[in-house]
Amino acid sequence: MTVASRLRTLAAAVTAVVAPLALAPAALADTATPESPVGPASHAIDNIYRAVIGTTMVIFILVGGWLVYSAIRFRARPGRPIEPPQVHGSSRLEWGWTIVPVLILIGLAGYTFHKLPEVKDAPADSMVVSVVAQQFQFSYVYGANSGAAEGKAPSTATTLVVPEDTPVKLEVHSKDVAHDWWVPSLGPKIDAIPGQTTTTWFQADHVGTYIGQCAEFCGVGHSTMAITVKVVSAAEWQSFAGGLK
Amino acid sequence: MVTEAVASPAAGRHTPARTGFWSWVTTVDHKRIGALYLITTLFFFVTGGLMALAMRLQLEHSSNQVISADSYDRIFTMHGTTMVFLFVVPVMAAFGNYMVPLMIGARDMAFPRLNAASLWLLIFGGLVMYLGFVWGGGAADAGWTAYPPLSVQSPGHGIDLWIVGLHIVSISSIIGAVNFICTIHNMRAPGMRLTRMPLFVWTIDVYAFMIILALPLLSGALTMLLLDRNYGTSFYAASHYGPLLYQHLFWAFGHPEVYVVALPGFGMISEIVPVFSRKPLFGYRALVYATVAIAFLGFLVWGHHMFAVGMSTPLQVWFMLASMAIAVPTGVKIFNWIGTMWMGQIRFEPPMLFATGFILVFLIGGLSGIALAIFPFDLYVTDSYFVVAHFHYVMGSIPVFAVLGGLHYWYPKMTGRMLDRTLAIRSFWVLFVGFNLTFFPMHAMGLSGMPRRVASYTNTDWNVYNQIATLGAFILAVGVLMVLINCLRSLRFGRIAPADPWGGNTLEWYTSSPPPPHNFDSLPPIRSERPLDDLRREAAAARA
Repeated sequence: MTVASRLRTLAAAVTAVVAPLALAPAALADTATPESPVGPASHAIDNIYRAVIGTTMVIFILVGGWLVYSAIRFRARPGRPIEPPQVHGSSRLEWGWTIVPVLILIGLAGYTFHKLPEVKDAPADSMVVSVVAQQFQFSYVYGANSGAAEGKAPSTATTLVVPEDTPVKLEVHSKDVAHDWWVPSLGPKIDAIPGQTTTTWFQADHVGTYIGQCAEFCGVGHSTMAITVKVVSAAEWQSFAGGLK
Repeated sequence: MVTEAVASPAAGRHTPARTGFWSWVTTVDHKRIGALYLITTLFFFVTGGLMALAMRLQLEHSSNQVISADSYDRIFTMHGTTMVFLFVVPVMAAFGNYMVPLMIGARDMAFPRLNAASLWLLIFGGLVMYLGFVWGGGAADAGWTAYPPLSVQSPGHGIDLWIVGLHIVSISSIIGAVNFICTIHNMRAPGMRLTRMPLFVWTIDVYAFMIILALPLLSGALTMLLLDRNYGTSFYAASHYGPLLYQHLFWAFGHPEVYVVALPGFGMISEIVPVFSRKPLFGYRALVYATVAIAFLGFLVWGHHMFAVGMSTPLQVWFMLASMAIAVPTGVKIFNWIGTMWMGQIRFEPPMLFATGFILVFLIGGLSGIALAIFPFDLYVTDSYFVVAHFHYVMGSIPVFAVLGGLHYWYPKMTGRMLDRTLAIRSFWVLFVGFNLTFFPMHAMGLSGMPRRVASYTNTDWNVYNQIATLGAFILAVGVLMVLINCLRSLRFGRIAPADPWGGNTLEWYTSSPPPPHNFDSLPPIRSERPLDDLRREAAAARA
């Protein structure tokens, strides 16, 4: 094989590997990202995800490319020198590929710390909702800062109704086994564990109905344990909360 | 070129071993025990795989009603348990049993009878676990993690049988581990210092230490579960934060278990890559340090399985940083393997294809592992199909690519026959395509909100991902079938294998294929981690 044809084969092989990877993000823009985020916590998660997936994609292309290149370039074929160099290692290289990953990880961790408050901290004036999980449904009771509806359950106990643009802090309990409250568009999930109260929060920017389901295996009805969050406008909320008195 | 085989004087003229059914049942020969271990674990691999196919059929479409939710729960529980406890962990003991004494130039394991006991306990324990399918009100149904209170409340005796079965399997693993440690530390041939030990032996040594440290946590946790279920104790009562206690105990065992599985897989790759690249391992010492570092860090990161339990932020930060740290020694392994291939003269025989495929697939699993360590993102994807994708890219790539790579590598040594090369190469590509089709779409399922362990779903957006995954699972099954057919057919029809078909570096290639009952008549001098390579060079120098 001439050098030119060898290079052409190599270029074709590298293109075949790299092209789908390069096109993948565009083609999979929807499937490769979390559900359309609708609040600060879910936006922060989305940002962190994009930083991580971007970094790891680059690493995958570089390291995977290096692997595939080595596999093609150094495959045994007639006419190549028979005895490859018997190299036992290289301290400089090995320290290099120990330290560089450490720096990348420090960068990722730093960005995560920067975004962390948006995911973890519910504002002090959040409207509080108590979530009770039991096999196989979630029910809700309004608590502090919820307008006129404190101590009341929404008219349909299994659909949580909240106003838009309002931080909502969930206090989660379980009556029987472990469950997990998760509405993907609203962000993080939180376990419901018997004997404990766990908390999370969300804030929905848009009016709409958001669907989720229990994410911790809880028995034979686990896959039917649905969650519905109905986000309404401030005006609608006023009349809804008023009706709960 | 130094390729011609350097075999021991005994190769090919040993006395035949005893034959017949009872000679196998009563055997204390590490090679026969290893072979029986391999057959046992491959049997459990097939049963675990069939359960996976049943799940994939059910999930193929949102409207499917192939199996009931009740059966689905038992099947996913037993699939996970089978694959972890009855396949991936003991299959390492299968290769460890067969290969460790040969690789260190020993006659047998340190305690041959104990070795036989660990095999038969594994089979017995597995059968006790499976007994639930036919007796006692159904097999276990609380997931392989068996979180209380669900696992305490589960009616019938399925979970009791599961616990007792796991106890028996754990005893098998622990006595096996003691045996490996005693063998490796006391029975190495003269000249084989720790720093000249094959990497696979190093990883089996670390595997054994990890088993001894981690499994008792599981045994304790499960014993308390058994007592809570049957004798009215309240170790896991909600009023004592018991459900959380169990999760900590389980994952303090469960995460080291991942590396119990992964490290010997890495060991196999570290044997295959240098032989087929015709180069020494790039950074032997770094690979040993990385193995030990992964094992050590592996004990400090269990909380990343529990980020959503309402853990305090400082703890989450600790578990995130510690989990990320594991990426560093794991990266060292990957870089050193590719460094070994660099400038080599790589022969893509089936074992090397599997090894290369493993590195690529495992890279994906490692990178999604970094994503999962970052706990704000983990709070989104934990307990979703993203996690299922991740751990199959890690825990699933080990058996499918590393272990099958090891099987293709050592099959000639074990049987005295070569596998059909063409069929082996085809089965690799079928497995590679099937594996990625099955597990890659699961990332998308998780990101779009599909929780794991659901027996059905209503969101029709998930249909397409599930259909691809189901198609992939059947392609994967065809690949496994091709490997098994190749193994069975080659037993009779395979080309006769020489003592050293690959130009190997380590002692097992010095003796005949298969080795005689006493393994070696004589041993070559051991002056490096590649005694056979040294021998070939000396022979070439003497001729020149």
